[in-house]
Order: sequence, then structure tokens, then C-alpha cells
Amino acid sequence: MDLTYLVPTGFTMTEAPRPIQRSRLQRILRAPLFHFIFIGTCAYLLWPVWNVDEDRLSIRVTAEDVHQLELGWTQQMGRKPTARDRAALIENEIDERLLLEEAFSRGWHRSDGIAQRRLIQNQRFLDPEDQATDEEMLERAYQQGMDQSDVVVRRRLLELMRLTLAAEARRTPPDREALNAYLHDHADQFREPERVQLSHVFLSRDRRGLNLDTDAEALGQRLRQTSPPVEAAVEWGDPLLVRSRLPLWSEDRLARELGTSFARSAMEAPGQQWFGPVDSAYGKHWIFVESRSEAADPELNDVLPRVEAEFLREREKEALRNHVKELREQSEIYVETGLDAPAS
Amino acid sequence: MDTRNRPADAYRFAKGEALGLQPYAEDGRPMRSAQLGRPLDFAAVTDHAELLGETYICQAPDLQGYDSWVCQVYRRWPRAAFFWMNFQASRATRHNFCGENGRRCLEAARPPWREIIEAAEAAYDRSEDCAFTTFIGYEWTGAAGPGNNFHRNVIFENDLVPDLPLSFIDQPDLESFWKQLGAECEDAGEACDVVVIPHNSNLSAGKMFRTQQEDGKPISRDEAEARKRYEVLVEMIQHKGESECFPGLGNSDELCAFEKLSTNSFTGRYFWASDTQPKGRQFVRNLLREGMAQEKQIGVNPFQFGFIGSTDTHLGTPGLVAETADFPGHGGAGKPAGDALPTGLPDFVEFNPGGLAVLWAEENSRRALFAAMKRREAYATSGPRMVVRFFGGEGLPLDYCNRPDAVATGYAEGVPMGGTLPASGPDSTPPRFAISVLADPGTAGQSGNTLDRVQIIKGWTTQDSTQEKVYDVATGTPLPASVDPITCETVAGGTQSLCAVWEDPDWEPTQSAFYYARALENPSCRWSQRLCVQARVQCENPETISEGFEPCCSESHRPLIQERAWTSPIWYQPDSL
Repeated sequence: MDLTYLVPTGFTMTEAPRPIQRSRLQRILRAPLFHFIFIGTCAYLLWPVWNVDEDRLSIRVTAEDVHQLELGWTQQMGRKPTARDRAALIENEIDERLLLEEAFSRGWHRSDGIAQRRLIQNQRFLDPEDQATDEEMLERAYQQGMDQSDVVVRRRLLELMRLTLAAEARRTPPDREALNAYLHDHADQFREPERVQLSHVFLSRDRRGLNLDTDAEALGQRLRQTSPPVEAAVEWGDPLLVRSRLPLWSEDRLARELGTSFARSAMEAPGQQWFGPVDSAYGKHWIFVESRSEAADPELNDVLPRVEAEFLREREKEALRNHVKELREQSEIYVETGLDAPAS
Repeated sequence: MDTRNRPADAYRFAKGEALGLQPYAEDGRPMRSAQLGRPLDFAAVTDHAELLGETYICQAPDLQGYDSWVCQVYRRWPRAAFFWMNFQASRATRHNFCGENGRRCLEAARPPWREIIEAAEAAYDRSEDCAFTTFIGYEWTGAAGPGNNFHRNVIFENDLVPDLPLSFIDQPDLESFWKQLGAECEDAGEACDVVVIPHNSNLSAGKMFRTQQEDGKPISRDEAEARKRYEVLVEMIQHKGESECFPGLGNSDELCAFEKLSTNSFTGRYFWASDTQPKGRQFVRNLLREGMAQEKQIGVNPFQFGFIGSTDTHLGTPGLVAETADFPGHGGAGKPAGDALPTGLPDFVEFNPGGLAVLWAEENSRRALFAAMKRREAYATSGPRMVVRFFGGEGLPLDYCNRPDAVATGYAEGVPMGGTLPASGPDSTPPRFAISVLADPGTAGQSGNTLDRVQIIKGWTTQDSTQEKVYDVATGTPLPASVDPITCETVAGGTQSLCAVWEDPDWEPTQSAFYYARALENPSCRWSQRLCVQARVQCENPETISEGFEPCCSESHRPLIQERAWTSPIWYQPDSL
């Protein structure tokens, strides 16, 4: 509303020629500005009273609803829900109903093609002989409230709500400060794992067969007694397609190259000495851990795209949570159960 | 199909996270899940360029076209729409709801294309770790007549990519596709580079790689050069079968009987009248031979391919290739699982979990991996993570296998897989090939299988034709691991590494030739048989064959599989052809 326009108009009227003299009160009562302010004030004061009953949504989860939720859970999980499960089921049901109500108020049950097809199909199933048009079938389905009860329609509308909220949440790109905070709060997720850098002398199970164990012991003795330079020692073993001096690798990375038992031993091996014999998928090894890097937290720049992606994913979820929270605040929620009723 | 995973989910899966899979319960929870025992080092999500915009419109109620009948079918009967929309795309035709010149659908393709790019950018590890690399890409889903697969995966070197993917609808033949790709990528003035990887040639009815123009004339040198420039790699195996060679089709190689489909096109399965006879040009080995013959005629080898394997998954599960009873199928043209858990086997019995691509590169980065693709230093596996090195060169030492610096020697004295040997004079000695293979080390849950043998496959030109021959160059212990096909129980044993230096006994310096290596594991139980065993199917007792498990007892079912790796070839080219 453009007040700059309305206010001068009022003043212009009061300054016009006046054939009839009136008291100041009469003049004020007749002034359009007064009318404008008076009606506006009344409307402002009365609006919540007029509006409250229609706008405040009522969600009622009956004892029967809770029973059905429990049954569905039991069928799917193969056990009865605990009190905690039941509480979560009810909360979830309330959230979904609130989102659904919003989808209905946006008219999606009438505009979405998937929902429509489903309702028509259902209705035709109920009236198999009926030659009515799709539109008539659809109208019948609405009259029977099928759009409120059909699980596929509900699922579809919920999905649309989630997608819409997610798209809104992604609209503004996050700033650096927020990303830094996210990285800090989720340090575990982005932490660099512990790594070792090692060299190894390999003895092949294929080549040595039954002599593998004794050969490995003998190699260990020789390494300990002569303490050769690592570069020379790695040539005492059998050839292997895996390098004898490996980069600084994590346990997972080592496992992908030489198997899990080798990787585990390598992480536990003491540094700057020959350690073994260590089993791998291919035979036995003596390993020399040259250096080790402890688990560490990265700088934002090193992990920026990952942090940003995870941050936005989180923001989507949060947007959904906040939206549901708002809906809850605007609604009356009743749960008919004596057990662990959720706060509403 | 009801795949709800996004490109970002596929990358998370590739990096080792668990991923929920369809069907979804009423509350939206996935009823199945999958996780890789070992993460991948790199991956590319390549969605179909043709229907990116169409499917986006069909899911966005606020966009014009959402209410079109095609979109209604798409939402109501996704399986029917899958065929219809792909059929339309294969005729290079836009749907009416795409508007004038398909503009509405092209515009609608922007958000999903942006999502593909953003997912690849976010998942790429640019830190010093180089733990995971992604490539931005898409699939140009062409067809040579309805149902004959003409598909190409397009992989970009970096994030400098065209505004929109090129589709078969707008570039309905390879020449215009390559031309436009050049205009929008390499010639666009930025540091854009691209490779094109034809895939599923086993479903192309032999039409994927032409050697004649429409009027019957030989293809032009320009066409051959364009193909050689872009199509440096070809897919050897994926979910919908293997494409190396077909038994008896130009060969006497029994080991070609591996993960073959019973049809030669997408439609062969559905139309009984289709000609399903395999054609030579569906198979990579035949093509390599044809390439040398073409080179003799037109001076360029249009089929100089290196090899990769892939999943072609439509579930968002790259790298899910283990032959386990957990295999959920791969969706796509396979068995759908959108509405309910599949009964019995989760996929058509002749389909398989797919393969892997391996690249030899200095580091795990886009730049290094892409360079490896361009020089074809790549190999394919049917799933296991065998380590394979293959070098060719006159100077390779006979003690290669005993040298601690074998790999460095290979590079110093020869060319690696994907390379070309220099021409030799008439008195020169035959080239040597060094091949070394290390068995898959396995995971904590499943130990790797041992090796059976390594072969070198040679193809060569004669005066007026081409020939091929398979040589066994190294074999494993006479007491290999064994598996009982009835129970899938295994007895441990066998060889974990094989190595050989081989000299071509039939070498002629005036003949063009290619050599590639094939490394075979000992037999193991196929995914289907593991499920048949788990379901306690006994084929002699029909009562034990429950619904959906009938294929366990079909004649074509092979309970065992001999997993393998194929190295890219090394070519020899004489001076004058």
C-alpha cells in the first residue's frame, strides 16, 4: 500500500473551501484519513480473531492410527516397536501429515499428474464397469477423499514437498564463514587418516612354496644382522608388481594393494627398523616404516567442494526440519495415546 | 525403474559409502542397499544426453510439457515410457512437448547437466591425497536403426565442458557429432579435451562401426581420422554382456564363450522375428583386425582401440561388480525393481555385474588419468582387481620377470599397452612382449581368486585378409584352486602371480599386427549360481525351483565364470603398408 500517496490526498481535502462550519470533532470524524486509519486499525485488531480458526491446522493421530503404524512397523521390521520406536513413528506421522496438508493447500493433489493417474486408476478399480471419463472418475475420487488416503498419492505429494524445500534451501550459496564452521563441527568426517610410508622386501608364495616360512625367517635374520641400506635390501626379495617403496598411504589404501592383513600390520609396525614377517595376499614381507603421519584436520581450501556439498545437503535437511517445526507451531496437534505421547 | 539416487550419490558410493536402492517402502525408505568392499579410484557418471530435459520436464509440475501424454505415461508406466522415449530418441526425434526445435527440452536439460557437473566437481579430491577422481561426462545414445546400439560415452578432461551435452536427437550421425564436439570443445579456444568411448558393441547388430558410407563407398580418410582421434578406447565388458569375440566368428577360441548375450541388439530380446545372429563387427577383436585392413586401404586405422570395462549401472552404483549373491542387478535394460523386490534372480540371467576400467597413470588426477586414456594405457577386467603390466619391444631383457625394476625396464626398453612398436627392417629380430599379472588381493570379506593362465592374442594382416591366433604364454600351478559348481564351495590353491617374456614365433616384419594380453583367473561361481545355491535350487528336483529361479536350470546357464583382464593392444606397423 502506497502511504505517500494516500496521506497528501487527505490533506488536500481538508484544505478545500468549506461552505458549512463544523466542529473540530465532526471534521475529524468526517475526514477520509480518519476513516482510513480507523478501518485499518479495526481490521488489524480483529484479523487474528477472524483468521485463527480457519488457519490453525488440526492434526489428530488417533489410537487406531497409532495401532496401524505399529502394525506396519512390525510387518516390515519383523519385531514390535519399542516405546522409543513408537514415539518416533508418531512424530514422523505428524510431520508427514503437516507436509501433506501443505501440499493439499498448494493444490498439488489436483494439479499433479501422477496423483491424478493414481486416483483415476483406483476409481476404475472400484467401478470396473463404469464408462465414466477420466475427469468424472477423478472427481469421484476427490469426493470420496481418496486423495487423502491413498499411500501412493501421499508419497508423491510428500516427495514434491521435499524437492521444493530442498531447491529453496540451495538457492543462496553458503559463505566461507559458514563452511569453516561446518568443517570445524564435522572434523571427524573430513579428518585425514593416519598414514605410513614404508619399504618392503617380498618373498613370493608362488616361488617358494613350502620354504616360504623358513626363507622369511632367514631373511629377517640377515636384515637384522647386516642392517643394509633400505634401497639395497628391497632387492633381496622376489619381484612383485607392487612397488617396493610405497608412498605415504592409509590402511585402506595399503589393503587395496596388498590385502587387509598386510595393511593392519603396517599400521602397527614400529618405525625405522625391519619388522616382520608380515603376511600379504601374495606371500611374506619384511617392512621398514620410514615415516608416519598422524591423523590430521585439513584446511577448508583443501576440502572446499566436499564441505560445500555436505553443507548444502545438511541445509536441505535443516530446511525441511525448520519448515516442519513452523508448521507444528501453527497447528493444533492431538495424539490419542497414553504412552510416550510426543510433545506438540 | 524408480532409481532415486543422484549423481552425487553415485560418487559417494564409488568412494565407499553405503547406498540405498529401490524398491522404496511407502515411507520412502529403500528396501535394499549396497556398498563397495573397496572404494574406486575414479569414476564418471554419464547420463543419457537425449532425455535429460524430457525427464526433467516430466517430473516438474510447474514446467510446460509436464501434462503431455508422454510425461503422463512416463509417470504412470515408467517401463513403457522407457521403451517409448528411448525408441523416439533412437529415431532422433523430439517429443512434441519439447516445443519448437526441441527448445523447451534443451532448456530443461540445463539443471540436470549442471547437477552432473557439480556432483563431479564436489566429489573430485583435489588435495594431495588424490584419493578420488571424477570425470564430467554423458552418453550420446545413438541408434543405427531402432534397437541397434550406437551408444558412446563422452568423457571430458576437466571442468571446461560445453554448455549442454550433445544428443543423438540433435546430432543424429557420428560425423556431425564429432564435428560439433570439436567445435564446442577442442576448437572453442579453452583447454577442453574429450574422449569418446563406444560401449555395448555386442548389441549393435554389427552397425556400430561402419567401413562403408551409405552409398557403399569406403569411408573417407577424414572419417577414419575423426574416429581415431576421438574413439581411443572401447568397452570390453559391462552389465549387458562382453564384447571381445564370439566363439567361431573368425576364430577358434573357446574362451570367447564368456558372458555372451543371446541377442545382437536391444530389440532382439523382445521381437521374435529379429535377426539375432552375432555379426563380426559387434566384437572388438574382429574390429581390431578390420582396422588394420582399413589402414591398408585408406591409410588410417579407424579402430585402434584401447580397452576398458564398465558397469553401465542404472542404479547409481559404479564399481558394483563382484560376483556375489548380493548383486542387485543394474536396472536399465535389465530386470526392473521399481515397484517391488524382484522375485528370484534380481536380473536377467545372461546379464552380469559388469567390469572395471584400469588406467596406468603417474597420479590419481584428472590430468594424469585422462592422458592415460588418450595413450590407451588402459585395461579392462570383468570385475576382479588384477594388476596387469604389458610391454612390447625388441630390447626387452629375457630376465624381465626376475628383475626388481621390471616395470622401469619395460618403459625403458619398450612401449606399454596401448602403444605402437616402431617399424623394423627386414633383418630385425622379432619383438618381445613382457606380461606380468598379479592376482586380486581380495578384501577382508572375500579373498581374491588365483590365476589360471596368461595369453597373448595376435592379429595380423596377410596379402588380402587378416588372421588371428591365441598363444598361452604362462600357466599357473597344475594344482589350481577349484570350485564345486553345485555348492560353490572352493578349495584354495593356485598361482598368485604370472609373468612371461614371449617372442612372436610367427613374426613377419612386413605385416601389420596387434598383440593384446588376456589374463584368466581360475573358475569361480557366477553371481547367478551363488543365488541359485542360496535358494537351494536342485535342477533334478523341480519342486526346489521356486518362482524366478527357473533360469538356474536353463541350458544356457553357466554356473561358473572364468574372470579375466584384457590389456589394450600393442600395435606393430611396418613402414610401408
